Amino acid sequence: MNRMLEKGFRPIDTLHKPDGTPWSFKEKMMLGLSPQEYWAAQLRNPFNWILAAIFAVGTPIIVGRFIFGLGWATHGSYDYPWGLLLGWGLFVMVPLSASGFMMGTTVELFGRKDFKPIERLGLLNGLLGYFFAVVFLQVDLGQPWRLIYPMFVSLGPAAVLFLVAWHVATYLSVQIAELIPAVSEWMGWPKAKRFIKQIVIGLTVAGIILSTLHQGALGALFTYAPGKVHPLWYSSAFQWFHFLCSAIFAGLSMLIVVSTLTKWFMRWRCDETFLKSLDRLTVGIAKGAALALVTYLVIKFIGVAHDNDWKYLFSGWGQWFMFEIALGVIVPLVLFTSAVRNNNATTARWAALFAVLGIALNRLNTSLVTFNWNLYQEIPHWREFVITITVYATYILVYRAVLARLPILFTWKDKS
Amino acid sequence: MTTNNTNRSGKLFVAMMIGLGVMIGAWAMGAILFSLSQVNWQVSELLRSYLVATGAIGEFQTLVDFYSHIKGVEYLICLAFLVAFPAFFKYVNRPQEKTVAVRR
Repeated sequence: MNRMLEKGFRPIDTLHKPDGTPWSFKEKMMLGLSPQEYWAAQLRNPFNWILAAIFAVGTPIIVGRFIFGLGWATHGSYDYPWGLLLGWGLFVMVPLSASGFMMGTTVELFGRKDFKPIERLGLLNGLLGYFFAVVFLQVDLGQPWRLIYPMFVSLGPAAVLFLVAWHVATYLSVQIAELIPAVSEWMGWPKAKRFIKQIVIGLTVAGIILSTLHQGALGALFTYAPGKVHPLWYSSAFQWFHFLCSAIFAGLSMLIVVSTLTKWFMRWRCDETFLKSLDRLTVGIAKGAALALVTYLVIKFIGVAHDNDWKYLFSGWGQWFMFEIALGVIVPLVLFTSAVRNNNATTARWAALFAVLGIALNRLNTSLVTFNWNLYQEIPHWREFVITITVYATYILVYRAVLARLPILFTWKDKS
Repeated sequence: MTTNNTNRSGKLFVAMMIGLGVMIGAWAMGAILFSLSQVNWQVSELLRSYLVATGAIGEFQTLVDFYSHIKGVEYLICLAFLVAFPAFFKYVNRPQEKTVAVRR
């Protein structure tokens, strides 16, 4: 598509064609191209062939999981209730989706309108991350029609999972509402946008409350398993705080990573405002991430000091812990600080990549690698890997499809 | 007329709040000075008596026992962070110059 732009292709960014007639829904879905041109462009893209190969292998295995049960697809057991599906799909994807409430707060509450060009990307990253976390959860739980059970039918108000279920459901609704303005511009429904504008402060405040609570609640889930998680990754007093604080820089770093990828691979869809402000915004976000990282680093060691776990640092697990801290916290902290001091967006992008990898490693360590550290180590079933890759590929596909159509990376030209 | 009334009530509210604050401040100051006079003007002894009174430490324990009890290293990390964070905040908040990035 980037090459087509050079040849004169102009993607749809208004409700009406140059002759004044409105674009039809089909034309908008086809990005203003004819069906032949659209499918030819899709077939030319090598990434689509990779996605097709993943779906060809993965879809039958996902169907098989629902037909033959969880035991066919995973090594899940009473010892290891959370495999790769939740370790990656829930515990990694949710913190990486914290960009939604971070950007909503920055723009709508703190009044930093200079971050407006990247706000919708932050919101979309949050919405899709949460939505696909629920998809992963559904693949793990099975029986999707019973999704409402923990909330309405079989209530467990004393359980952390009850709180997580309600928070994720309500926060997803809030995020959908926050993105309605983009949909309303694209569909030509100005009333919906006006309505959301009236309640945007309420939505943002609700987003902060729900998001901070359940990011912490995901950490609190591990207090169900004292003694199972290795002491260096477990702190009964600070677990919720570790998860909440790390979600702040994780969401911001993921936003930097995603915005960089869109700048490279979807330049055709970005407008000048987005492209011109991206480096400045990246450094601005890096500043927030650096402050969250230094706080996280300190509370991690306060957790170690509180439980007097210093002796574990000299064990093999301790080396692994220090590797995670070095790769996922200290390296990005140094790079983010350097990026801010030198106003260097490229350094901030490297830092964000390290921070994203670091947070993924931390969550997988907590939920999978160090889980049952005194027993045996579980290697996820190969089908679990395939299902995880397939669902994540679907996430990327949907993400790209939304970015290509809705006004997320560009400003809609109609005044509605 | 309405604006005048609003201004007057606003001023009255501020005056009441200041008055209340002064009263509470005077009471707190009086209480601290009286307590200090009871312990021969030793601030650390006053703090120890407060911790004994609230049940945080036993009668026989000292302040050193107390911060050892709440784990000295943890306490020192927190204290260091309280100093380091504002310094770090200031360090990353220096005035902006032109942002640079490698062109692709």
